[in-house]
Amino acid sequence: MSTDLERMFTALGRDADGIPLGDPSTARHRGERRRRTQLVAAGLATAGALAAGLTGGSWLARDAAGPEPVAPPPDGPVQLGPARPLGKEIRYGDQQVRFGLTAIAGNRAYAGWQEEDGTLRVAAADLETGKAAWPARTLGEFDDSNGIIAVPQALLAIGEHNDGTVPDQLLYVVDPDTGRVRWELPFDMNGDDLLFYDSALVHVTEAGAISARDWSTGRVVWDEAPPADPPVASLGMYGPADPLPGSSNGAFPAHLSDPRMLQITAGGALVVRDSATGAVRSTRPGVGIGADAHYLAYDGRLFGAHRGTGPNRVVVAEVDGGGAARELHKAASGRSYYDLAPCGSDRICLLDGGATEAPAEIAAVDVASGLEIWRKQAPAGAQRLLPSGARVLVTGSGAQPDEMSSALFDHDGTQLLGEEDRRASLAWVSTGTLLSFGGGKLAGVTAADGSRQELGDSPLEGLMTPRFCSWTERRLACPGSTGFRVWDIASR
Amino acid sequence: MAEADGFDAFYRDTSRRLLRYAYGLTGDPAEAQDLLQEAYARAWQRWRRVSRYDDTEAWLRLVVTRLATDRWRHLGVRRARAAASRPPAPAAPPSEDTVLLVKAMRTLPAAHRRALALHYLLDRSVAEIAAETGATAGTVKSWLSRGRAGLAAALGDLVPQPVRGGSADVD
Repeated sequence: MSTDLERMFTALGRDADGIPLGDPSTARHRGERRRRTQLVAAGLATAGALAAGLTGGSWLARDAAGPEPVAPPPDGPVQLGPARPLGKEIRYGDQQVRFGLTAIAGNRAYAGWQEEDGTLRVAAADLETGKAAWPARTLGEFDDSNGIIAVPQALLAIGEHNDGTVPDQLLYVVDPDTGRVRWELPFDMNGDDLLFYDSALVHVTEAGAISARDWSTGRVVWDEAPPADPPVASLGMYGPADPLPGSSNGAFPAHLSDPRMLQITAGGALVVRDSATGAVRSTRPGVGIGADAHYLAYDGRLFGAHRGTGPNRVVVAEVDGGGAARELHKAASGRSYYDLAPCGSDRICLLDGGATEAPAEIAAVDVASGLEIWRKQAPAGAQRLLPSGARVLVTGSGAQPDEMSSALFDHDGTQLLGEEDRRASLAWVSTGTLLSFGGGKLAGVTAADGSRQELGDSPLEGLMTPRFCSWTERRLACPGSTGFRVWDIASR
Repeated sequence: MAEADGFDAFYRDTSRRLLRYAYGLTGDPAEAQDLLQEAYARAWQRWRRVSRYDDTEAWLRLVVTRLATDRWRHLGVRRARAAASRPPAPAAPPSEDTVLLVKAMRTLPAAHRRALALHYLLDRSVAEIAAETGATAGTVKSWLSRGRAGLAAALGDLVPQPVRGGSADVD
């Protein structure tokens, strides 16, 4: 038997060695889609704060062709004060937790955590007082969680079974006022897209089936069957006055005020729909550049940037125009685009790098001419561009473990951060002010000149990173090992 | 980007072995490909932390094991779902020995399959399997022994019997 068994396992091993392997970039992209939800939790918090102060009017009054052009907002610096805890820590419970993270929207700070036995729970605090808004709610028992997302209409939480349960993943839509689960939806973190419109939550499956659901009831407002030419990206349109998602290729971007829903198909067509009705406004071939690309719709234009092995280029198309997309930028041989973001009027900033140890670089490109206005070395491990007006913040993982690196570039490419903040993790708290987490301290940074104001000890415990926290111009919420709490960071 | 480059290099160094292991657990090329991609996606999600583990490859095997355990029972469901997504690159048809072994492996408990896959496909010793699974060496020996016996029984049913008397040469 043993000889036979050896022979049979040898045959099995040989057959296994003949199974085609995927490219590592496929696994990375899949991982990034999962990671994005957690990243966006913090991004949305900032976005919500910015939107509250900067976006006026209602999308209902606008035509589905999009809002009127809006000038970029002027700097809106805010004065921050020493961080002061509000209320008591809201404790998770008696069990050890695998992870906890927070998100802010409206007048709520939310926390989502998973306990050692897999139980996924959420809770909310009143953002003004820091006191519990409703008791912790149990959503279910899962092998993993893909985090929480807070939008003004609801708290979303995603649980993942990984044990053969069908559906494998569930998206819960939780009432912000009561913590009650309003409705739930089978979900695929790796393949599905979510778009957050005022009118509905739009869910696009990997095959391209669309359902727009009422935020309160989950009722399907409109839906579409998977098309013959499935989408490779579904995204919303941002304007200069809108908050932007933390990452330009976010499958879960910030709340969208423009009602247009854009889809790029595998065949390269751009399909524009009205998110309120699902009606197709236009279909145009020759715009998309495939699935292995970042897409960003901003100020009436659609940008696409290759992130593959090359040759890589950036294209741009006027969404309301005609014809194919035009080439805007071409990456140097061996380099691909990690991220792209608007960084001023008619400008796009690109983060590109190669397969070697050479550092990534950031370049500002004029959209009309395609010419580079400036190009600078990016911080070590740079992965994301976080724009605000004509400035762009670049964050990276640093050259060493447990190190962060950041740079803030002005409209002319001048780096604005001081030495201390370049070794910290930063995030926009208003259009003119950033929060800085580094060296065990919390600080406010004025974007215009990089000046720093220390706000006290960092509320981050142990290995916790700022992306588990969320903030507004006046409040900061962070998870700890035993619970979460809200801090007052307003100037007093 | 150094981080991505490091991940890609790690993927290139380890993915073939992990695919072998995933195939041993599932017996299904498409499932094995999917498990592999899912495991590395999870690694990339937490790469800064995971890449500092003493044995990152063992962590990935653990992820694959957890994902595979119940997929085995729900293979039919998983296949139906997979049919709705993009098909992976096709694999060549398996050999007759592989077909028989996969059928036999499917009759075994997960712990036995895991031990057999580690031992026969990745050449892990009893001590190494014990270290990876957190079991004692005695338990691992028992898994391997009972796994072999289970395979013998299953293969006895699967392998064509001799025409005249005796038993199939499976032990």
